[in-house]
Amino acid sequence: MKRIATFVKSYKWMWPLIPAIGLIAVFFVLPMIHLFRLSFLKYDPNQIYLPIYTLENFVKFFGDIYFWNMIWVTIKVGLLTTVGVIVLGYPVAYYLTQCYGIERTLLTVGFLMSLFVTMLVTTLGWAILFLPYGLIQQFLEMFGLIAGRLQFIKTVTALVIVLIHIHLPYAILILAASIQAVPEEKMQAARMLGAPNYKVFLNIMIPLTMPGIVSSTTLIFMLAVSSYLVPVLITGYSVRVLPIAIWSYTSELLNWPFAAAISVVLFVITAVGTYLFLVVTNWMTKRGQWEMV
Amino acid sequence: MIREFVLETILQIKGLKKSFGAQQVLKSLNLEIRKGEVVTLLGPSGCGKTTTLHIAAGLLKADAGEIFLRGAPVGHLPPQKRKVGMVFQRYALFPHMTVYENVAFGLRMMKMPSEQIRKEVYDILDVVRLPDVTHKFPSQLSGGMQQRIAFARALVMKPDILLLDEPFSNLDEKLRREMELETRRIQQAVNITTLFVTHNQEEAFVMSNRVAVMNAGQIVRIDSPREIYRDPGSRFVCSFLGDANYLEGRVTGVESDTIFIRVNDLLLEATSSSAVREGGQVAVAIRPERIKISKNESRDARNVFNGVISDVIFKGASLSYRIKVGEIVFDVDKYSQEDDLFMVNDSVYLKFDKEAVLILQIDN
Repeated sequence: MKRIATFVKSYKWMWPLIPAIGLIAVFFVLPMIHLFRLSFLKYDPNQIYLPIYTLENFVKFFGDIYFWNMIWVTIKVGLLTTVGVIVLGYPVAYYLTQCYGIERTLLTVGFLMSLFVTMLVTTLGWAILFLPYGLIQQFLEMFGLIAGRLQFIKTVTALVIVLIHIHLPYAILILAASIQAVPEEKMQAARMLGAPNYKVFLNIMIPLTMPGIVSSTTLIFMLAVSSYLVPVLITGYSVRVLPIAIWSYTSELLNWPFAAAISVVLFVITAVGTYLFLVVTNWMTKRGQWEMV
Repeated sequence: MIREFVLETILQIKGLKKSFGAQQVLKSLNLEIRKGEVVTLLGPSGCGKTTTLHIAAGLLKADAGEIFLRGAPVGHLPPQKRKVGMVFQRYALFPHMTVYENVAFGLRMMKMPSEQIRKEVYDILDVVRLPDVTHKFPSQLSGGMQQRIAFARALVMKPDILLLDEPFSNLDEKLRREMELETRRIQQAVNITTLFVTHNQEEAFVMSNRVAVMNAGQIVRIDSPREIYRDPGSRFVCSFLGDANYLEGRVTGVESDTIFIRVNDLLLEATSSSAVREGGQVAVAIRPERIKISKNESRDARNVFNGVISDVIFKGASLSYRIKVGEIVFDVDKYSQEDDLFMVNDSVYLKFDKEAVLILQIDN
């Protein structure tokens, strides 16, 4: 009894963690275990699944070129979105760290405000712009740049543009925090040693802000490949990405084991992709060997 | 010690002006530094010394005025186009590069062949006496070592002038003294022209051939350390260069080599100065180490005053006495090893040479 009492006492510091750990365990870990199990169960048209373990869901998935293509489109959308967000977001984040006072407050509030607008509204706004005979088409026709119906709304390009727009604020805020952490003097020192601006950026800024680049890249990639609402509203079924297939097998075809299998594939892709990206950037910037001074 | 420089002017600053918003930081600053010279900008924080350095480096643009390096105007050039080296306050080493890569960075930017880079890097690391740390990262080095690497990184570029922005302010007292001497050694070893910025008077004296004391965006006095210490000229400069007893009085008599100053009941004698006239108000300063104390009254009655010790402060190598002479309190420093030590309430006689009485301008 006494030993139990001491044990409980020595782990007293963990008490505040219990609600969060409990939430994660009940609403994330348990469903994930269930999902993983489901992906190995046999599909049955009447009972949805039978308690028989099988690999047939994965065999079906990887045996079909249609699904391989879907993986490729999903990864392509994820990568294009991520690259677009980082390339567009980095200069803005840098500018944000360089301005002061009211300008900075207004900019920050502006980025945060756009997060208050629900993704549904933002996406519908874009859908209206992209519609055949919508605003973009009218505008382009006004200048005689195009004639006839615009084939824009159902494309990967349109999807990536909307995903970039929606995810930009997250990346800017994360990147700004990591750019802020690099002392101005490091850049000045590089300049005084004869480095032109692009070399200061490549040799000093990129390696020193790599933690921010990695975390925003990871976050944006995961959000983009798992995005469901935006593909549904912008491209419908004409651009097939994994989340749409998951939804369709879950709600329309009621083949839950197969939907679970696609989910597991998507999960593994994001996990492995993120891990590889971390390993490569760590190796490139020699992370772990040095500390900020 | 006071060397005569008849050498080429390396850096010339003419009529430099700079404001940040409504605040004028530099008001028409002029400065000239000759080859091999170490000039210190000494002043309190906010006096514009760091701004001057940053403008010389090209990191800031001046509102007016021009900067010349070896006679050529450089005000329009970005920092990478000037042959100027800089050691930053926090060294600004690149934490993700090894010591070798840090020192080689500038040479690589010049596209120097790697064999030659290797030689130059090892040569300069020998000069700063750190040849064995090339593979280490800055975070694995002590503060003093990081600083020497920062010096090596700037010096390996063979700049026309080296700018030092309070490089010792992050070091503890003992290391600071060590690095002052080390920097002086490196500076002399490569004979590099140096503009040094500090708010520490002792650093300025140890390092420099000339000290420029700055206040409110202007150089108020520029001369050799000894000359400035001997004749500070104004109360601001005097107070910045160490402790002093400040008195104000009236000139009661002027002779060929002596002036007489009445401060309350005391009559001081000082060497004559063109800055005073009979009957005028005058401010004077007396350094605490220039005052002698004895138990017995001296035969010579000039600049001798009787007082009572009100406090004794032990400082290690020195002792500080507070002595009341009538209404006036004098601080007097003595070596603590001296035989004649006094106690509180001892009655003593103060004595100082008339050369010890520094005549100051009266500040408005």
